[in-house]
Amino acid sequence: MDIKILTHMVEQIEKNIPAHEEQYLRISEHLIKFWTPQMRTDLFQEVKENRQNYSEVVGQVVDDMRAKAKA
Amino acid sequence: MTLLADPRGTMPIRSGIGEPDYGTPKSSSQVMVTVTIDGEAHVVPEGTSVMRAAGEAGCSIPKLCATDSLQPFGSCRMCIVEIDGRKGTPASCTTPVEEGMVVRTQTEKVAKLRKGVMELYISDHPLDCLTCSANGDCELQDMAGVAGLREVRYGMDGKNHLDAPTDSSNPYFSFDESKCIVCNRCVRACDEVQGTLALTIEGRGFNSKVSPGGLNFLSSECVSCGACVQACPTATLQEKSVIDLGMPTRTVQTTCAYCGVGCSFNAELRGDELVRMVPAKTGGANEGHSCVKGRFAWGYASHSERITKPMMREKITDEWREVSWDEAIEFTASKLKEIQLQYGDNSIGGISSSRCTNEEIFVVQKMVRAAFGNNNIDTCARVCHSPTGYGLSTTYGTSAGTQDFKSVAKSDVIVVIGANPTDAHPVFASRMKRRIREGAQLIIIDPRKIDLVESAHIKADYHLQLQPGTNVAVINAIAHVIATEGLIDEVFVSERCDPGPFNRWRKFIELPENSPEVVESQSGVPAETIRQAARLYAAGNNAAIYYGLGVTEHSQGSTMVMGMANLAMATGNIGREGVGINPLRGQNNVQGACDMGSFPHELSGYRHVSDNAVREQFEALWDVKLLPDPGMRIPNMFDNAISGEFRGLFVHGEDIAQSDPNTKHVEKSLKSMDLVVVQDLFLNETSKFAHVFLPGTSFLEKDGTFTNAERRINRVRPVMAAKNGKQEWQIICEIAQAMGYDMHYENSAQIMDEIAQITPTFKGISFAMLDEVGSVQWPCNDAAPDGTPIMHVDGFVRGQGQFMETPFVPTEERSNRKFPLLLTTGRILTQYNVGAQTRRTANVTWHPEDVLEIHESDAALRGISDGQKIAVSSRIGETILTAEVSDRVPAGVVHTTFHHPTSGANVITTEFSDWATNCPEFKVTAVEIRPADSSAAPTNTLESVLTKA
Repeated sequence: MDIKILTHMVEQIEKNIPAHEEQYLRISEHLIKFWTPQMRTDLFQEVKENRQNYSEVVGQVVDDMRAKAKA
Repeated sequence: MTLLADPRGTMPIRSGIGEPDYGTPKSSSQVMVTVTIDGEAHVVPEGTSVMRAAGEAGCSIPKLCATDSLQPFGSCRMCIVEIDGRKGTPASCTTPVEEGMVVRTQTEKVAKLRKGVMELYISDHPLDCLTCSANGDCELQDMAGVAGLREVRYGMDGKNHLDAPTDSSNPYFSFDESKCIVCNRCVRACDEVQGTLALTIEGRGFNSKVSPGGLNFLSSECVSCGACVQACPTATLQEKSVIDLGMPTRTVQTTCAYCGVGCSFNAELRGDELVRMVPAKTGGANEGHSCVKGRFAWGYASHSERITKPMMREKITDEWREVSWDEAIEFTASKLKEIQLQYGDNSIGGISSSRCTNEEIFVVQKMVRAAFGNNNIDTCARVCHSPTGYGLSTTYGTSAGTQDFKSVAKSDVIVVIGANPTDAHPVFASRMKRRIREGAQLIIIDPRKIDLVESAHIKADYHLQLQPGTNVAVINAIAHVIATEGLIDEVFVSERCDPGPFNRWRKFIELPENSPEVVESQSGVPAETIRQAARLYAAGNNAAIYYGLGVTEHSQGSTMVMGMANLAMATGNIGREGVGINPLRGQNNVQGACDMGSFPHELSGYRHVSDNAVREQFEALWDVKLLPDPGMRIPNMFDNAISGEFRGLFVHGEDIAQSDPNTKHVEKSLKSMDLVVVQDLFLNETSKFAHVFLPGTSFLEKDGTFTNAERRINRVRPVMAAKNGKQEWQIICEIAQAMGYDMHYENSAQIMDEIAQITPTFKGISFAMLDEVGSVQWPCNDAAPDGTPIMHVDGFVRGQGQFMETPFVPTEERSNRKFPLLLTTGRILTQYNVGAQTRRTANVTWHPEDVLEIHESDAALRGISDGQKIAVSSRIGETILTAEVSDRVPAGVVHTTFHHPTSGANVITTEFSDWATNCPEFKVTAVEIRPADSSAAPTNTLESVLTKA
């Protein structure tokens, strides 16, 4: 799947989930609940390689999810 | 003069093969009174008419102007009775029973009077009973028999109406004025039942006649709902199918397959031939009413273009060849397995259809999960009400409307947001209009001036004519007023809602950015109008919200659903009659498709695939290992097809090439696949890219259930044999079996039994139960054995209601210099969805093509006139439509429908979608318009794209 599409999707999710202490959790919950494992893997890989193209929030969400997945 | 009819001498409570008619509506009073009728005492509710009390007691009173779907009128004088202590012979229809009343219905005096009245009626009526199309189903004929009329002393030589013309302009029914007795039933049906008020009585005295206003029925405001035809006691208003085929002899009760209202119909047949569809008075959703689609537009089921044999082809450029079922199923299964072997288990998937039965949908998703071995199942609800599922699940705990349709009769304030009920849900709209005529106040939030904004006897108190794409801003502004003006129902919130999220929401919604004054500049709605509408909603005793795809098909569709849910909780408008949040579902079984586990992340009953306990139940029952992660949504399937990872698709009863946005993208993805299997009634836009076509069954051939927008599960019974020789669930089972997964049922009742076994909200449901009670609204289980008309009465499904912050995020689709107008799409009364059904009926009389509504200032600016062909272009594509200059849309906004593949509205809609569910943003596309002949022909029309394909 085109990574641009996934990037746009995650950016939209970030914009629509209000910025407060639960934002990270709600975004990661959303990705787990509605995205296929492949979509998540592709996003993780993309954020890892091009972190500078993503917001701090998305970067942190991906870091947390990857850490959890490893654990 | 001697009557041709054979008088029967008895008064039938049934007319023809229809349902009983007690003459006047049932009283809802709980107070009972005792009345003596013809010497026998009967106990009936206070307010019951003498006529109805007598009918229920088995001693029916003759009538002509009375029917129990209409208020009593008292004009025909056939229902006169004698009542002890009263002078004269009062009309029994307009006389309510009283405690101790003694009524005599069959005295010599009333018999003589009735006979005299009847004689007058017959003296001006054609004596062609034996050749009349209503012979055997004519109340005038019946009453002549009951009155014992043998002769008419006045002869036929005097002034009469026997040469009056017949109006055959309507494609479905005729109006033979010579047979009219001016009983007013048709006029009253149009007023009271339908609420269109298209008919009237013109003239006075002997010159009185029923008139549709305009030149004829077709050119009048008549919406062809059929209420007048149903009410007519003679052959004056008669279905042309009855005139052509003869009077039906038997009935099968079933459920309409058009919109989400889910009307019950009596399919009336003559032998095995369907003659007419008559709305069932016992139908919980429609209570005897219908619209032009359900009542008349069923002929597509027997259309010559129906495909009844399986077909295959190697390449999509090849001609189709008919094959046996065995060959089609074996090829489908082996090809799907071959793809999986080569590209992995996730390389195939399926799309289920909201037009199919719960049982069919259940087996499709089971096939995908169990036989395909993945969760790549999605449904057409993706492109309509998936945000409803997300929003209502998040806030209330389940994906469902909160009320039954009847609830609207108790509403004091009705808010209609992004819905056009008179066109898309007409039978419910009639209920709503009735309540509005009774005095309920109305708020419309819509960019278009829909009929409810102002039509006969209806005028919205507020029309918030917002810019497309600003729903969330407006709903936030309404909530802001409620929060900042002390209009929150603090008791309800403290007792029923989670305080943490509420306090956070309150802080958010009170921010100045959500004030009407700020939102005015975003939405175009005057701040004061927003304030007044908010006060009305909050202060009205019972305030209900009804919404449609104008809410969901936006980039913030899910946010908007949560915004409305917040509003209902904040004002305590949830959990009782007259209130609630009510999605008006577009297709007949959108609710059921969602209930049945058609989304890639959920099993039936909205239980996430990651829930180990739930999954284990399914695994044990299905004897298969299920995946714990969500599968692909439809747009994911398309994107992955283009990137080569998704190679095979089973499309069940959907025309995704016409209904989904950005047609070019959809077609590219379909062309990228190795196997596309389409199961449908007709070859459609999607089948142009298919390798296998499996003929499906129309609703008249199906055996199963539909679930309507009020969660009502209705039986769908086979009216005729399946033209393809198989039920669709059988075909699905055979594919699954051919793929190596043993899926077998003896009948569709067994499928429902399995649904009930594995789905807690359906636990109490079976075909036997539905056949006994008629219909039931889920949840139906041990806790609610009779079903649940209204949800969240004592508590929310999720426990405490959850307020959600709903920040307004403007859509990325903006008008600009190149594309300065905003296109929004919708439906029209006579057509349905992609038109596969309605385009194959006489409904094309009213809507032969999609048109583009454009404001006169926008039209003038571009030199466009009404009826002119225009090119409509977006950054995605271009199509040709006919201009309709209209004040329904404001300047800067244009509107079209998507019923015709030749215009292909979705050639120009974009890839943008709801952030949470990927429901397409059909309602906002930036476009430009020019006269079609002002430059080169468009290169991107659906036709041209398909020709190239």
